[in-house]
Amino acid sequence: MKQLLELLGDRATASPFETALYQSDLAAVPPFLSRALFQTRPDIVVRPRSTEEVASVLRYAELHSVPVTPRAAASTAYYNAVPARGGILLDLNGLRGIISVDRERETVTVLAATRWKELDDELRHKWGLAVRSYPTSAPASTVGGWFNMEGWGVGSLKYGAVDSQVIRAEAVLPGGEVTELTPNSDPPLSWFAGSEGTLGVIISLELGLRLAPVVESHHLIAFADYAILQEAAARMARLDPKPYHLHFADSTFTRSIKRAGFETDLPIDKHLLSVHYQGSRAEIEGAETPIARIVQQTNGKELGSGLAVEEWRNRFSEVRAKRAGPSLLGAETLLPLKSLARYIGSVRRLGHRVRLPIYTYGAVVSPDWCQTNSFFPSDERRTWSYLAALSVTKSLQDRAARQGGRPYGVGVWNTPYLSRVWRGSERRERLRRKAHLDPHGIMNPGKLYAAPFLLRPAFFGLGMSALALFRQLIHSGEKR
Amino acid sequence: MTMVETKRLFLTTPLGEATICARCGACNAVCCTHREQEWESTSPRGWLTMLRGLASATGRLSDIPPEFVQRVFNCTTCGKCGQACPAHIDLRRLWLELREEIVDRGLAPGFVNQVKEVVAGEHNVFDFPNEERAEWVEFMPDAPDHRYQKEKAEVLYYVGCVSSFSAAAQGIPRALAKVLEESGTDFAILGGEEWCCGFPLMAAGLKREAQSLIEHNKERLAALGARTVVFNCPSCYHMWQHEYGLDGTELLHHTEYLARLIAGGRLNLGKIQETVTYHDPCDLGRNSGVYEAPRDVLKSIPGVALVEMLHNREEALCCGGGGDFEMLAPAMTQKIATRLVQEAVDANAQRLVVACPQCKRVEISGVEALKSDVRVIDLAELILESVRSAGDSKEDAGGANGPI
Repeated sequence: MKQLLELLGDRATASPFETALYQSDLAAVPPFLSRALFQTRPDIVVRPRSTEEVASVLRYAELHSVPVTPRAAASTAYYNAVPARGGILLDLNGLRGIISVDRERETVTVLAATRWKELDDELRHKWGLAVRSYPTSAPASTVGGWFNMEGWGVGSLKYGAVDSQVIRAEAVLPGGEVTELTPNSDPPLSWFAGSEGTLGVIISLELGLRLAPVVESHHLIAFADYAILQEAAARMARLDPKPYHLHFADSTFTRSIKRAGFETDLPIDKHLLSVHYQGSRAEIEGAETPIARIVQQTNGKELGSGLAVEEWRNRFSEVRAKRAGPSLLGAETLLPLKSLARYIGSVRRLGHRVRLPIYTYGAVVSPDWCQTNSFFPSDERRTWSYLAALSVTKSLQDRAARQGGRPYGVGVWNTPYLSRVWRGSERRERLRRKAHLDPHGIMNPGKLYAAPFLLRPAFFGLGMSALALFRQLIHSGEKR
Repeated sequence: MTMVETKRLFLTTPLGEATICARCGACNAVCCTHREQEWESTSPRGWLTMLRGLASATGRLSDIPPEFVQRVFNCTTCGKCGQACPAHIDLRRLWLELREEIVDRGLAPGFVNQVKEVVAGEHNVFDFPNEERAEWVEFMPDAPDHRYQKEKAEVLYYVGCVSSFSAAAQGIPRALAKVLEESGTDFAILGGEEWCCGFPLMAAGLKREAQSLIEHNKERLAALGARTVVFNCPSCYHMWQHEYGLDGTELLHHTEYLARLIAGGRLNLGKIQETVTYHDPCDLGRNSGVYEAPRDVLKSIPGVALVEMLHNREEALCCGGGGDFEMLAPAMTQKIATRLVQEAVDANAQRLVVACPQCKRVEISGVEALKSDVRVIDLAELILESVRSAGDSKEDAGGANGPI
């Protein structure tokens, strides 16, 4: 490691005080558990500021067979950017900012650790352009990070997942080779989308943009029944022009927000669908009649425009429900839109059975798919009951799977469900890519491709069943 | 008067909020001191992670290591972290409470004692004799004989330490006093009887020590009989708003008072043909919700074209000079200020208008670092310029009453 300390100078540290802070992400995992399974503390943290420095670190890592974990915002929840086997933590936050904007072609070349919101703000302010889609974690999460995940979020319904906006990227491959990735390069750009930092390090990306929208419109519709909400959502997702964003939340979500201490005039006994349009005036005006027709035909109740705007403004703050926790547990999934109502119904029944206020919200990300988030309050400070509650997260994943859904994001914690993420040949293809580009297995090891021993489905299933029993036991004395 | 509703923020206990923290890093993305240092230990999320790590089984803080103490004081208390927090944690208050806890345990860094001794001794944060507080008036050849220190007045103009003692900021009280005079406002200053508002002590974790200053200033206010207090320092304004517990006294920042004077037709403004941008000071904008009054004032000056910087209103950048941070890390303060001034340059502004003496001092250093042509000016100074421009026009037309 001495070589790295010399190479990066005061931008490298092996100080235990510092390295301890790179052992976590959004997931609140009791340290005794995460440290029993993985070596989460990196041996060294380095902060490169250029492609050359990243290449030097990766060359060193391959030469000495040291694991490398790339990380910037670390705003995921599955340890995607947390070391599983120690080694080098490659903190990419120094690679931040716009490199160039092509106003004619409506594209931007941007460093990978640039935050989505800061990128969008600057594009709008200086060039009258805007990103096409962004994650609901846009204030925190990075362009490179979202590309490394699957990249569904706000604007996906209209513009697709983030990979459809990436034109090319600069990457450093394991071993230190710098390469330009395009749809036709070898390896192709598509290999890196959703690869969770396991194939190399993305340095910069060229993204397709849109003209900053002139007008916005926001509608918020309340439904007594989530089956009808699903029908309305499916019809709206097929409108032409498409809504920019289509968001749903069940009534338990609104109750959770209130329980967390936020005042709102939203009805607590209704399920909500919000429809957000952005674009030209003609586009917005043209959408009004079809939306009104769908609302009427589905017996929805359109709420006031003030509440609709409030919903839009809160699109980055869904986690505020955590105030009622103080912790949250749950499952993020991708689900066929046609199964949304059955899934919500199933989750609500589960919530009733396990006596937890499990809420579900999410976005329709294509005419056929939605991204759902089902969460419930918990308290990580009460270790045993928190661990016991983990069994409920598996029940949520199982319910989504029964409806044709799968986990959204893998990292380490969703590796028990890998067979749901990739079917037969796709998994083999992913493993082939990994072996081809990273034969020594140094890039973000322990993630995405295989479950560690104790998370293998058989052990994991047994463990979760035991936790479920334990949970029943510790709650058996409580009144319903 | 022009306050907008600020984001609702919560603070239960520091440890409670550290658990509520979603660990998303939205705070890290906007933290001005973290941007310059980049280690996770220099970030708000990092501090909350450390805080959780220090929680004992009883839910209390165990021993606080010196590295953590150093990091917690490495903050301008600008409040941008709380503004960005999707879990609505009042992080600014949380850092201040943590500093208090650190001081209570006798773990405070050296500068805290210095601040304590200086303010206790001289009642200002500059360690100058406090009776020299109104020396800025001596540079006003046309100041009235009473030097703005009167027994009774309708309005107290609370000048604050920075404007009183810092040469780079003394133009602000001189300008504001002239403008108040011009508007016919019955106002007074306290001179040597004005004591520090207490904010430097709060920021150093010395909340209790601020109490005697608060009581003194309240007594002087009562003796003067003023029903309105005008501040040109946002931190003094914020401190009085939140810690003084005054009922029935109107507290206004000078941007608000100027907007009122202009709306009431009490100032005659002349032309200034300039493109200007406005920097929202943290304690006036984000932490007090005053955004529109200064903009209304600027828009009322004939000839002024107002352009916005990339970050404005609640998302405005911090100048780097708040929360006692400049005392600890002046070089980093200048780096932070340079980023802000660069935004003014990018906006093609000729003038960077501020509404805070500390912002003015610090941003001037940012301009020097950038070798930029942008000129930093306080809103009160710009208004005086405009009033004088109107006077000059009248004089040219033969109808003036003489210079102000």
